[in-house]
Amino acid sequence: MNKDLHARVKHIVRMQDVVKTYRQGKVDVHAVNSVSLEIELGDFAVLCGPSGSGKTSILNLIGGLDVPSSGRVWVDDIDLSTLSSSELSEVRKNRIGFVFQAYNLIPVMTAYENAEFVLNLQGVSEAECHERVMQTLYAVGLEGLEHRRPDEMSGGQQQRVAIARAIVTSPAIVLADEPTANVDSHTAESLLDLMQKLNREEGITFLFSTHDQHVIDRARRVVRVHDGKIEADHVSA
Amino acid sequence: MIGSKLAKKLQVRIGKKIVYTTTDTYGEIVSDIARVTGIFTTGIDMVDGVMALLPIRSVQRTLNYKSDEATVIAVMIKDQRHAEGMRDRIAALPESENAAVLTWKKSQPDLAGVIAFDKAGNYISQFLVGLLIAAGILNTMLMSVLERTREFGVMMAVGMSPRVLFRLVMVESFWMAIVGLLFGIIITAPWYYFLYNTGIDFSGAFGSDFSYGGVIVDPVFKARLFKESIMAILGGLFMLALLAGLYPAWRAGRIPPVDSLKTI
Repeated sequence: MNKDLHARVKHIVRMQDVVKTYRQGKVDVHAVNSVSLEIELGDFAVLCGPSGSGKTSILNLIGGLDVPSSGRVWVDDIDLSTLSSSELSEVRKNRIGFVFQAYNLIPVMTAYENAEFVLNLQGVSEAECHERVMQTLYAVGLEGLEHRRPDEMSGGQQQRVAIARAIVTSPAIVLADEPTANVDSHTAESLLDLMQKLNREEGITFLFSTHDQHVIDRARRVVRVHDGKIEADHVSA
Repeated sequence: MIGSKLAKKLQVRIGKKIVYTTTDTYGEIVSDIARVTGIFTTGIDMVDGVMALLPIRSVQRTLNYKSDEATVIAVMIKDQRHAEGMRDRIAALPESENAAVLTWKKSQPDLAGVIAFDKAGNYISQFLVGLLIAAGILNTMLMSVLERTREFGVMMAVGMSPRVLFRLVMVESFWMAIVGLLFGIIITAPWYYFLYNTGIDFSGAFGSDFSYGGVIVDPVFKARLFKESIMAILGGLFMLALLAGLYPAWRAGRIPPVDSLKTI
């Protein structure tokens, strides 16, 4: 984890009066409705709420995958609303890791290549790439499986590859959208153990969107979202 | 030497004599006698049935021509595309002072016109074939991009910029063009070889005395491929493939990652 980051910023994510409106036919749907939120560096936080409450939309806005209709989003003190699509790509590449519900691994690449992909985009040297990928795959418990393709791995293993891909660049924050939704409860527990360990030992900030009670129980901070608005924000002692 | 059909018509064999009559340089009717030394067969009725070849000296004598006079001197060159250059070189010779030096296009304007018309039709059909090829490549590239929308969404989500994605799809188009051209060459080369060396015999359909634009044409049609044409075809198809890849490449980078990730 970048120590310089800790010295520079307290809140890795800040949202100010963010609104996201989608047009469905002739109706405007407010997926995110005037949300203001701050996520501290090193946090292990959860956005929870029923389906359609706006959790994923908030994650997408923080991740620069989507742009707000109004309001502003800062990640690592960078105002995402002022950036072009290429600049947003740079922010995602260097500062954000993503873990998706459906794993979203590149099917033609092995576990090693999936994890290596982002480092290649960053222009990291081959030798350093190899060292970091192997270290990360070891950290997520995938040693020996680096040459397997996604279709040769279980759901849990695929999600571990996704986690490896998300953390291999030492991002400022990992955004995980329903990371346990497609795996059984035992695998979900082990994935949460892994992410909690990475948070505790590596200082990586995690922000989840979930309605899985197992995830919610593990979170240090729980933000409840309903109808695109923050309903409650609870921080554990 | 006389054509085989003419020999048959005149009922002559090698060694027999023939009397021929013509007009000389003063317009007087003159006759001479010649011995048949050979009978040729070209397979073309209009040649075999009417043509006789005589030694130029004896004909010049009969026609009262001087030893350096002739009505027509035909110059055969390997590549007809160099006809204009050859004409200029011959016209510049002092011996050509009182002669009209013409290319085949000028001496055979009917044939040149028919060929020009045929070429124009050929260019139009080539353009239409090019459009079809471009549409095929565009369709292939577009499908290839669309079916990987989610994959591209993931790549963009983890930090690939639209510019890099555009480049990636263009590199795919480049390799598709290279591989396509290689396969195209492999598949079509034997046919070109056959058409170049053997050709297609249309004598069954047109007969052996097929004329075109006032000129007798060999009923065996052969293909001739020039180096410049090969380069133009390969280069043109390569550019066509790259151009057809532009839109899918542009489109790949334009789909917002959040939309791409929703794709199944």
